[in-house]
Amino acid sequence: MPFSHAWLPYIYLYGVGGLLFTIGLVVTIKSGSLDLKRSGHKMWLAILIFGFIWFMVMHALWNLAALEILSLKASLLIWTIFMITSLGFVYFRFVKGARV
Amino acid sequence: MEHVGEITFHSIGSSTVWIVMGVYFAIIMLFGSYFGRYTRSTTDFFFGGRRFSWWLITMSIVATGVGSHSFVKYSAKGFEHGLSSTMTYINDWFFVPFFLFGWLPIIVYSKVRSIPEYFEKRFSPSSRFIATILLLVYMIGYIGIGFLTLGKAMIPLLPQSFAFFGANLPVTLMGVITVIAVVTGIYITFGGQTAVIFTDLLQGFILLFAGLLLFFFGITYLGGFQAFWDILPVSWRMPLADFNRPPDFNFAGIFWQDGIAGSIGFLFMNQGLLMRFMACKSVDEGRKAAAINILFVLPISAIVVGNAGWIGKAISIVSPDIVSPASSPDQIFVVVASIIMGSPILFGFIMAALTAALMSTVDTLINATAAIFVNDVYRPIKGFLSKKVTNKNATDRHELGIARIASMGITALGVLAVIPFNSFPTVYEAHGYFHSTLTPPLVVAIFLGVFWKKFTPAAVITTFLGGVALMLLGAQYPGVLIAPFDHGITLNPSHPYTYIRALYNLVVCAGVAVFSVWTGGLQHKFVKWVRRLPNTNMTMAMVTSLLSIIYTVIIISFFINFATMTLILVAIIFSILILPLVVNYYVVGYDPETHTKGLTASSIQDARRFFKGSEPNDVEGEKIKVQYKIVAGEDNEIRFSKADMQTMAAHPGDLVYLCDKRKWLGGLKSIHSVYGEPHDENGVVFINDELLKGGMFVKNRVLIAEKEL
Repeated sequence: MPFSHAWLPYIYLYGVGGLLFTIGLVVTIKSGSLDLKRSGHKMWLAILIFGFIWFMVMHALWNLAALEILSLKASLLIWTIFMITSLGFVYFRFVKGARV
Repeated sequence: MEHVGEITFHSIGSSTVWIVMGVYFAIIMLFGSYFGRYTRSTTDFFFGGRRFSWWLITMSIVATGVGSHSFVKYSAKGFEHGLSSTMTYINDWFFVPFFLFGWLPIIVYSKVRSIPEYFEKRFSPSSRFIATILLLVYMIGYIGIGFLTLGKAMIPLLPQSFAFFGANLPVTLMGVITVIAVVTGIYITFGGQTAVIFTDLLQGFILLFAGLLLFFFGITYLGGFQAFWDILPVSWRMPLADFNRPPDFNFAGIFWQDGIAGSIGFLFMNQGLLMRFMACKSVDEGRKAAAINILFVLPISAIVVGNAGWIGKAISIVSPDIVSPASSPDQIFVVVASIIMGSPILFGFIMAALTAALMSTVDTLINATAAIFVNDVYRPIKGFLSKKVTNKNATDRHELGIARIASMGITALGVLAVIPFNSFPTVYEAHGYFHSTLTPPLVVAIFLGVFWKKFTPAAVITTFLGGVALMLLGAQYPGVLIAPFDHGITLNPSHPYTYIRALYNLVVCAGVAVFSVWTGGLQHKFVKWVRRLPNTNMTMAMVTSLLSIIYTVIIISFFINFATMTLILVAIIFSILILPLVVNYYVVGYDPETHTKGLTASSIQDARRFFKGSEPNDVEGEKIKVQYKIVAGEDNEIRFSKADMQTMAAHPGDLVYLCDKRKWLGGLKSIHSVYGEPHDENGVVFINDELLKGGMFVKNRVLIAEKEL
């Protein structure tokens, strides 16, 4: 598998995308719209960073399984654990702590 | 359009399939009509009354998002290139901070009803005018893509011709699309946004279920997931496409077309999606809906929409006699579903879910486009022609009628928009080209408008006109102008740089915008100097005429090649230099302070103040349970006991949200109101008859109240 298919798209996606994401965080924090003095907004910052990692891990595991560096079962297992943890996180943030 | 060497299909559907589809559509339309009764005004028709919970909006967005990205086009790419068809569903997170804490609170708190209205508030009426034109073209194009996909999904089910009273009527794509458009138009005309939201909610669940069911049957057909995985060559298992090959499906092009232009376009300028978020009961609830949708629902949707293509690919490897590798990619979804589902009832259900999902997208877009028409075309024209003040209810009824007529007209234009898109080999490429071409000017304008206080009316108008002119030139000379951005992608002469042109278009639009802002000081000096000239008005009229001639020449040169690229480029650069001067001269009254207050990310607190009408109360309170008691009165206030107000940490004048306790209703029976002066009856809310009707509360049912702002 050439590098142009194996890892270059992944590096480009999370390199350029990561740069844009970081600019987004900096701009919203600096402008005060993401106000880290408010507890709700602190949680939102955590969710935003978590989301970025969530996609990065998902794509990495998928790539590793596709390239047969990691077995399909191991990738799915890691992903399932990650998914359950995330859903638990969402449940406690959004359902239990839901407010207008 | 059928392409050379492709195998196409007809008459796949038996009569049972058609009966199942008919029943499904009847149920969906009845379901939508039931919720249509909650439409009492244009606010309800377009925005669903700003009352719904995050989970309801999340599921409702599924049908819109999945429908718009469609089973047909992702199955086609899955069949051609494997699992990397999912990449467009898993690259939307990068702009989420900008959306959740920039655009979303601004559109809600500034109370704008459409994107062009934002342009008027933030910039000027002329900016709104150009934004309206661009947005209407974008939305109608999007509807056209939806109709094309629907038509392509239906064709394999139909025979090649019908015998009708002795005449042999051929089944054509445009004929099928026209029939679909009539059905869609009827539904949306009588439903409205609440009906659309609830229909989409139902369809969102069904859609995910149907797609996963298809995947399950497909995997079982192939002998399990491991067998399916082992059949696929390594390159087809990859989640991302090759960096720059082939021209019709490569990572770099799709990243810029979909991950950047498409993601911003979808989140920032898809009026249909924005109206869903505006229908949420609060900004935080909208944030939850967006986050859950992108984090969890979109990855699942990626499997749901693409798996028929992957299964088709796997079957074509092990049994090419069952699914030929030469099958038409746009028909593969229907072909695979008919093979692996076995039963015609299940196949009919899958097809009904697919077509209903596509209709969801189309009806949402038609509803949204009608909202833009009423808000940004009809009202300003009516206001200009007649200053007569009319009764609010009469105006509302009248505008509801206009919205319904507009929906029909927009549906017709959407059908016509199918014609140019049908020249592309697949729906995916048509959609890619559409996004790359139509989103950049608006995306850049909205984005800089929200995040850059220095962005002025002169800059936004120059971005629109100068940016579009440079885009047209790029489309005409892709080998010269787009090639430097191509990331090594080969130029396909019949459809040059379908995706990567998005990068060129974004760069030229953003470049024009930045240039216009940076030269703002010089522009003002020039305008001051011009104003001191003896024949100021005559001079500026001549400059404006010259500018109009230049733009006319640029547009004509796009269709008739009569000038060299260099000459047109010089003309465009000249227009970019002159246009801001003209705008600065004519657009008077723009004050950077007042026109950005509450309309940029750095002034969200001002926006919240504007929304409430006073200082927001951010002290955290608790929700309380109450019963209602009807009292006389016509004001928009509801009253709680002193103790209940204290529990909610609320004061008279704060905003309150009151809804039925049953969570599964998702806020359908609810109202927004203002706290009035407290009384002494704990656990009881005093509410007048009008608000009671708005909330559709049921007698003796417990209500939940909470402070909003």
